[in-house]
Amino acid sequence: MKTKDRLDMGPSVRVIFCLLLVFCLCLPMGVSHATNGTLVAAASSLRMLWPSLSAQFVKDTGEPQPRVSFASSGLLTTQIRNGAPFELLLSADLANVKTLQHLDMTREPSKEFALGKLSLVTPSTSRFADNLSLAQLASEIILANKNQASSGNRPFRITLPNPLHAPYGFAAKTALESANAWPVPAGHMLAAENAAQTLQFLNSQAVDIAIVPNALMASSPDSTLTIVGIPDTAYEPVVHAMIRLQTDSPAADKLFNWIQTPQAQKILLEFGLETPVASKEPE
Amino acid sequence: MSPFALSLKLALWTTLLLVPVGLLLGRWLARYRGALKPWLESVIFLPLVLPPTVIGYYLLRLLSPGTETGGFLAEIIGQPLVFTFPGLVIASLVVNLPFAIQPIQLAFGNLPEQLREAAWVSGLSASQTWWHIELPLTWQGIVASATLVFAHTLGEFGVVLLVGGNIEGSTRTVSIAIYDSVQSFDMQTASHYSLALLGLSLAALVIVRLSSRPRR
Repeated sequence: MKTKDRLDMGPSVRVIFCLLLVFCLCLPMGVSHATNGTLVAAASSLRMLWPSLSAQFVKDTGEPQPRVSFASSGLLTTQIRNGAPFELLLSADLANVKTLQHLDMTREPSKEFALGKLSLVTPSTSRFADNLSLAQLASEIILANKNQASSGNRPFRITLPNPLHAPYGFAAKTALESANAWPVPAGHMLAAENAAQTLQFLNSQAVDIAIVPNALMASSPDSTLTIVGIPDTAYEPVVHAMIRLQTDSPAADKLFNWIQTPQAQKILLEFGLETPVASKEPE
Repeated sequence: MSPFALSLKLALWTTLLLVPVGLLLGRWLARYRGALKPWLESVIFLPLVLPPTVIGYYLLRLLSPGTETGGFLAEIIGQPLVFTFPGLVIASLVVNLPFAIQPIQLAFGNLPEQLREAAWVSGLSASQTWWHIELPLTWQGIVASATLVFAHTLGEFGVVLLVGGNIEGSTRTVSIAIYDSVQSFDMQTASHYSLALLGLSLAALVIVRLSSRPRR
């Protein structure tokens, strides 16, 4: 008996497997970076402004579009420490930049390029919308801490970026501490993995109030949301700093320098990120 | 390279590399009756019950250039394995090992031992028995193995995120791109990718079910 009779694969299965095999062998294991833009690790609070920023960078310099990976600054730092091949880090945290500097994984200098602030956001239909403020939120949390939820109202829930690894989360925690509203009792708080996820939780109506970086709100004024800034006195603004990583990359150098130009700073300002008063190199 | 093409590339490489391993190990395990069998099977099938984050964590520790093993591998290969496509392939091979082995082991386990003996008595050599008797009768298990590995790799998320991160063109697979799109409120892109994965996964299961139907 012939082998082909025995195998009983059917012509269609054979054709599919041959096509898959050919396709697979045509795809190299490695990835060519020759024509790709510089690889940037960026804090997730920069997610909304990034399309405008990178488009302007391409327009001004003629460089390829940078490739960006968004996550919390802490997670990005961990990835870099574990060998992630980023060329430029845009961190929402000075401490992470300093950590990498101490590990000798960077190319000096670093540069502070923006100051981020926080807002409280709630749906306009929420019972918190009319008097939304840090003081009102704090009084609700204090009541919840005493197991005295507001009469007639369902338990509220807030979200903020995880203070353990997200700089905006740490700033939000500081703001709540300043109002004697920390810790938030269990069941009333949803820690988001990063700053952008807070808005996702709010949009899905999983929470009543989100503490959100201004940079994520400024891009698209939404009439269905009530947004109130948290007073600067309640927390230290979040200092954004950038640093080039060890890879020798002229494209990263260009982006690093371009972000310090007035054109870039104007875009950052449009998205609620202020220019540091004395833009300086961290120690 | 688009996330979809990258996922296809990862799934194809994983399938191509893993099915031969599954064939060897699955066939051997189907016949092995030793005291170590439960232990070996437990180790091989561990990825079925371990959370992907646990596997990802250990792989990250193992492959990170800051560790002894990862540093050694990076020196040999000339680049770190984590956050690269080859690193993703290694992670996928580990995670998908049980999916490759189990259908093949079941297929070979269902082959009566007398069949092979009859082939030998009839004068067939070991290799002839393999080609003319065993392979035709276990082909469905091999197709099921390849399809499951392919489909599971396409949808893998936790391990890919930990070992590969989210690097455009290198490690941003479809499942990571869906997560990334949702985070950016780009629901249209998330919807397109999700629909594509849904279709591919359904097609894979149909192939598995069709290939496991009893022959007339």
